[in-house]
This record gives sequence, C-alpha cells and structure tokens, in this order.
Amino acid sequence: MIKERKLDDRCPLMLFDATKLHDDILDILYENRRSITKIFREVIGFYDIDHVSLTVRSPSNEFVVFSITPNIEYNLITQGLWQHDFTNFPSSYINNDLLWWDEDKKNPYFSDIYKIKGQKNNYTLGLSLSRKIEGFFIIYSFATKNKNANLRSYYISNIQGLYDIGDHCYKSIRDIYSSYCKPYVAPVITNALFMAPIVKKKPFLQLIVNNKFL
Amino acid sequence: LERDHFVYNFSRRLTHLMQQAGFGSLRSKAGVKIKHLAEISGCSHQMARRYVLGDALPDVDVTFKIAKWLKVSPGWLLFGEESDIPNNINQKNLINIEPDLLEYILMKSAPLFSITNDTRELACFIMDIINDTTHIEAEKKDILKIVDISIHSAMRFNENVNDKRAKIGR
Repeated sequence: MIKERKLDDRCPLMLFDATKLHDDILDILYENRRSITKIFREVIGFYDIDHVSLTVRSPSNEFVVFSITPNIEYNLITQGLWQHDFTNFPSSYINNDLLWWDEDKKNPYFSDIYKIKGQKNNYTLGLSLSRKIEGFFIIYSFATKNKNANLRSYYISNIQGLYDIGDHCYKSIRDIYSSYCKPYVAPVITNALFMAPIVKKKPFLQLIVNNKFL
Repeated sequence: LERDHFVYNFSRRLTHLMQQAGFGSLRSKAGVKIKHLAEISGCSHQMARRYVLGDALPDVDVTFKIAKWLKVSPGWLLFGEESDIPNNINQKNLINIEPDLLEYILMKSAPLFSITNDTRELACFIMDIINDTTHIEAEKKDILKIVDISIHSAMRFNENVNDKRAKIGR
C-alpha cells in the first residue's frame, strides 16, 4: 500500500534541497514545445489525465522540466515559487512514494503554488511520482480536471499504470533531455514496472456504472 | 441619443460589476474605485472616471482588459442587459485573450500550415499555445518571446520530420 506521508514535522519555511535549475530553464520549457506536446499528448486521456510534466534532476543537482502545460512551471519559476514546491524535490519522496499536490497545506507558499498548479488550469487533483535511476531523479507529475470524489483511490489503484505512462514519456523525450544534461549521459529506463516489488498494491475493487464510481 | 443611451448602459454594467467585485466606493460619485479601473485599463484617472460616469466608451483593447478583469465577456460588457448576467461568468472552459495577442499568435503560426501535413494536430498545438499564453503571468514582451520560441519549436519539429522522411526515401 502507498505510504501516506505526514508533513507535520517539516519546517514550513525550509527550502527543499540544494536546487539549481538549468540556466536556460525558461527557454527549455518552450524551445521543444512542439515535440513535447506531441509526445505528452499521446497519453492525455489515460486515467483521465489532463496534464503531464516530467522533472529530471541530474547527478549534479541540476533540474530540467518538460511540461505539456508549461505556464505552470514558467509562473512558478518566475515568481520564485518553484523552489518552495515540495513535489519538485527528492527529499519529499520516500522510496518511490507518491505525493498529492494539495497535501503540503502548512507550507506558507501553498496557496500561491496551488493556485498556479491547480486552480489556474482548472485541475481538480494533481499528483507526483518519483523514480531514481543511475544517479538521476525523475519526477512524473499528472493532473486531472475530473471532479469525481474518489479519484485518489482510483489513482492509487492505478499507480503502476501511471508509472508506465511516465516511463513512456521519459523514454520518448530522452534524446531531448540528453542535450541538457551534459557531461552526463541521460539514463536509460529498461525495467518496466519497477514499482512492482516495492509498492504492494492494496486490492481495490469498485463498482463503476456508466463511467461513474458508485 | 442612441449613443448616449449605449454609453450610459455600458457605464451601469461596468459600475455594477465593479461593485460586485468589491471595488465599490462611497466617496466616489460613480460609486466605484476609479483608481483601480485606471490601473487595469492603463488609462488616466480622468478617462476612467468618464467610463464609469457614462461620458465615454473605452476602445476595443481596453474593453477586453476590463472584461477580463471582471470575468465577463467583452461583448456582454458592451451590449449586455443588466438583468441578464452572461452565463460565461466563472465558466472555466472559455479562453479569454487580448485580440492583439491572438492576432500575433495566428500571424506567427500561419507559415506552419504550409509545412505540415497534419493540420488537425497543428491546430491543436496552436490552441495549446493560445490557452497556455493566457495563463502566463509576465510582461507582454516576454509573452511574445514565448510565442516566438514555441512557433520556432514547431518549425524545427517539421524540419526534423522532413529530414527523417528524406533519409528513408519517402
């Protein structure tokens, strides 16, 4: 079962990790936009996903972000909020944990961050998943506009599918990322569903009639 | 007389919406905080005062700015009836964009149609640009730069696709 994170112990004013965004991060968000859009659009709709972004931290702690909704990252970065968003940083995750975007309510920047990430683009729920590989740290973020009350259970029960989608997106943009992570070589994901041995899925059964949870 | 009536009704809608939005003022003759309207409109205090008193109509660009600020359609702000608040208030699937910015995006995108085969996908991409642009909080020049970079990414994308096709002889 997915661990529910307790954030009570975190100092609300802490800056997460030693952060260094790529020097050209704002350009990177947009200069590959056509390719990124084409790739990420392929997975939009699966699990009612309306947003996908992918954050990669290199072994030298340099972050690069690719997003189908780049206004989110652009606004967070230019308003100095990105470094206060707990979902961006490896220390917030424990062993391939998942984080809900709205769970860090004690963060004094929470409302500003959530307004940009969720409300501005009409997302009702967002989540981020992490993956470590060859000294790199990859974060898959997804958001939906679906208003169903049981979405959290739904996504927890489909977490492996979300990882598959994230892996697919990363594999598809690896060549693009390669040009931004020198002198390192962008990692290669070979083990599909690596979550399986770590996340023990709780059996989940729910009746669905006419595409609505009962 | 018709124009006076039109301008007067515009001012009534404007002041009503401003009061609803919390910009009412007991000290102002018009009953609203003119300073805020002037800031949003980018016009002088005197001109903003004329808008709310029904002495003048803003031009199209300013009307769009005010409508966006007050979350109504520009058309309703200009022509609507007081009893008929438009149903697009708070409707979240509408795109509200300033006309000159939309024109800029469309003009920049136009060459892409001649170099791509998948016009539907291109249309989706342009819609993404339009939608994303409306959410960016930045100065106009920065937004235009983002549009330029995005369009350029599509140029490069098509060049790469064409290169690949040439290599495999299609």
